Amino acid sequence: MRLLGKRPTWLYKQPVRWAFLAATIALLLSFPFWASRYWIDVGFYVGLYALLGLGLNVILGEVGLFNLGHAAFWALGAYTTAILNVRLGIPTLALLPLSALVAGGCAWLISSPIIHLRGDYLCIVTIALGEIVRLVLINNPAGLTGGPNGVIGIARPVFLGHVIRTPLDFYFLVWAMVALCAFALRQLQRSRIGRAWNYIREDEIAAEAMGVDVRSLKLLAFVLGAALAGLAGNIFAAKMRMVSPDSFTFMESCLMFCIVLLGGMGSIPGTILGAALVVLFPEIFRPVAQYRLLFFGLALAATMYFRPGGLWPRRRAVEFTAGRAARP
Amino acid sequence: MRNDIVLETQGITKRFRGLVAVDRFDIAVRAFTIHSLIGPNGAGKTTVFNVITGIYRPEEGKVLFQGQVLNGLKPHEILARGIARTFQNPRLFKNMTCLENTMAGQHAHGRAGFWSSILRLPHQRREEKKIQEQAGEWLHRLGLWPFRHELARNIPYGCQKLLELARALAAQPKVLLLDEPTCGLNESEKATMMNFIEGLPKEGITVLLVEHNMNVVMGLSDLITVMNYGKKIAEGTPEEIYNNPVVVEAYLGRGESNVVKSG
Amino acid sequence: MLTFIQQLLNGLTIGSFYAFVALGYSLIYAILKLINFAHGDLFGLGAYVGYTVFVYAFGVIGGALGLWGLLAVGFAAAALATAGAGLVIERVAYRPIYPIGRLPAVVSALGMAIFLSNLIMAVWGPRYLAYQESFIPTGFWQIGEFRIRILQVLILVSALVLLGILYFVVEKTTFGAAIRAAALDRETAALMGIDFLKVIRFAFAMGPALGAIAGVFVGMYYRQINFTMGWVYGLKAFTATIMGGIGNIPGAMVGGILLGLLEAMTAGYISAAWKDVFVFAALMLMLIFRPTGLLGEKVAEKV
Repeated sequence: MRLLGKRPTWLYKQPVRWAFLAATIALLLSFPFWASRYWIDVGFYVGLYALLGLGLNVILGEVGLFNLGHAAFWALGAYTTAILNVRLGIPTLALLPLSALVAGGCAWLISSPIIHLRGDYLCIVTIALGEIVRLVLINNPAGLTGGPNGVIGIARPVFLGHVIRTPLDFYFLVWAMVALCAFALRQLQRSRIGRAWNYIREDEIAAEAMGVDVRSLKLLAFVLGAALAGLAGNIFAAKMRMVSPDSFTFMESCLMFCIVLLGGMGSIPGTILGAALVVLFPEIFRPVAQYRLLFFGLALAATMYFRPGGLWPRRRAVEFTAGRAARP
Repeated sequence: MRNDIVLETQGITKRFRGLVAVDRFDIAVRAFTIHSLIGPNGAGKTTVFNVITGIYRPEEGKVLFQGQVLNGLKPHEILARGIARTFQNPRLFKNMTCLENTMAGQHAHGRAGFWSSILRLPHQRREEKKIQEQAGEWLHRLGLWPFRHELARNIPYGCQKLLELARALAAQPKVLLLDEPTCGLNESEKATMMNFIEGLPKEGITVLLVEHNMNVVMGLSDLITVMNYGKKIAEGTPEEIYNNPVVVEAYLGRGESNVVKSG
Repeated sequence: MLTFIQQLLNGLTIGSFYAFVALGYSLIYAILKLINFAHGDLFGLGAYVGYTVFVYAFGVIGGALGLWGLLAVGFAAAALATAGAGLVIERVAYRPIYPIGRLPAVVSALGMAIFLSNLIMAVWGPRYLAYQESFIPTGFWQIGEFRIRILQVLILVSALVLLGILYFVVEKTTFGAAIRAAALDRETAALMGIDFLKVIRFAFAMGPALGAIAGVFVGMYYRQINFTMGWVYGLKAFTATIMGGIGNIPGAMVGGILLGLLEAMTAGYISAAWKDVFVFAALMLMLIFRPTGLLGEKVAEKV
């Protein structure tokens, strides 16, 4: 904590935190009404990556499982939506929970045999997994995935008779999902499940010795994180109206990994901030388009040097003192 | 006599690539006593702990707890049965607060699931409150209450050892395995720790203790088992062990027995 | 039979590339326990430096020293430049961050990988560049129906020789003992008077240098290079490293060759489009059933 520098304590007083949250929500709600269409789209992508980041944050941030293939689950969600909508005509919005279910289910099947692997080994398996999924999509098994061209012609989602079509509609759709997920994950963080995830991250052997069912909880995190990526996949497919393997490269998995670490492991606001940075960085550096990723690489290294805990780390001590403290 | 034995190992053997760390080792811990396990460095004491708590699988032998075989159970299942432990070097959850660390002990006794946690259902809230209160109580008793909101890695070493004890006790164990609880503590911390351990059997907690400090062992133990090279070489009351030439020899080598007595 | 032998030869050649690159990963991982994600892009950088030397120095050096002289200069320049880049990256992006923690180091490594590949793109452009025939040994031997390219033999022999030398250095010399000691236990090694920095510098110079040689060979073999090649080969080579047993020099060699063979045989007999799926599936199976790799030892974790 000292490494991260001293901060004024008033920042962490409960009313200040609430005021800050309210201001953020107000900003996010009003943003599309004064921003241009282009920037509303940028806002949509911030939300999309925030959703992906929140999913990975459960796996990587809360439990400490190195997952560098998260784009695979995103792809599974997107292709589930695309294929079922185009082939069977199931409404896109109805596929939202189903995409999450398919991504989560696949995550369960795949991760069961590998979940015991530690650190870098898991990292490599997940990279391999991401590549396998992408290559399978390119190879067009049984003519389902449409090969390198992907699947086109996904219907627009319809919500209570209202067709979701404009950037504004999608902006609200994705941010509503982000808000919902952030809330649910916040509740989990403050429960025995969230704590147990953190125990595993801090010391797996001690966690197990203290009665934490490490295997089941790791699987739960993996499946939950993948399911959130599946949700993001559905929204992405609906927005683009097409999916292709190019969208789900290793680079995307890397970006998600960086979102979580830039923001701060296990920090929900941090993850959203990380998503904003990763999406906005190329936008801000658009004038030097050719070099922007070059700077991005440098910025990653620099951030890890100056703020190794991330830009907005979770502050447990503060949470307790500011919130409900235990008084026996 | 036999039916008050709460924890027992029968002929457990653990090998590491040909090296026999524990060799057909038997120990029987009677309920509500403090039983010490001593021996020179590398005698296999910690390995016995790791076998009992399910971290290692023994090649041979059985571990019995209240007459039930524990072999094949995972560490978390063994804790849920009522055996908690501490580690030689504290293995705390370093980036979490002391309160959260202590709450870990309660994890196995909690029931709240995924959805009830997200929705904060009434039974989940009640359970959370109970977990926090229990943890807070142990922090109070071990004098760690002022540190409750500090991260575990920021508190002094002596407090970390106490915190590990608090965490294990919060699991409401029937048997507590302590791996060198006074190692690295100063004299006053040592006294606090000893006093506390001494009172545990009265609260219904049986203690199996690994310790190097002979003052601690002699002062606390009801029974002492001595091991060397993975085998049991002696067993008896502190008095008997103190006067046992085999033990003295194991510690100091042949012909030096007078040194231990004068010291 | 003809297919088999051709694929065998292809597999051995590709496997040599992987082995070269795998060594860099393995050396650095053994010492720092860090997956150097930038390593693949250092390999790419080597290919580009070699290309530049060949193109711009063709007239001068080629005239004075002939083709083989040109090749020697090209390889040396690529190896030196890339070793230098490796050292700079270690100094700037890893050394300050490594003590902080492993995850920040992983992110920094990813950052460097992104930086390097984009640097290559910024300098040499995003399009494919062609290695011209004039600076590639194009000869071959015809034995019956088989055609063995001199280049293939050159690649195989240099892989064997260079990796043999490296193996000798690590296993038989005093400095090698220092490397192995540092890999086993950094702190104890430091207490025994081993200069840890020197060991790290060796790894960060040697690994990229070998990678650069592979990069130039890849350019000659396939005749074209692209700024994304670092990532493709890097991932495969890392797979090879894991297959052979990470931190193990003969393991990296065996893993690389095996991976090359697996790839060539799947491409030859099953389907070229699915070969990478097989490769990665093999990796996953390997990690499930023998996580320490083919030549790795099984170690019980000390609690």
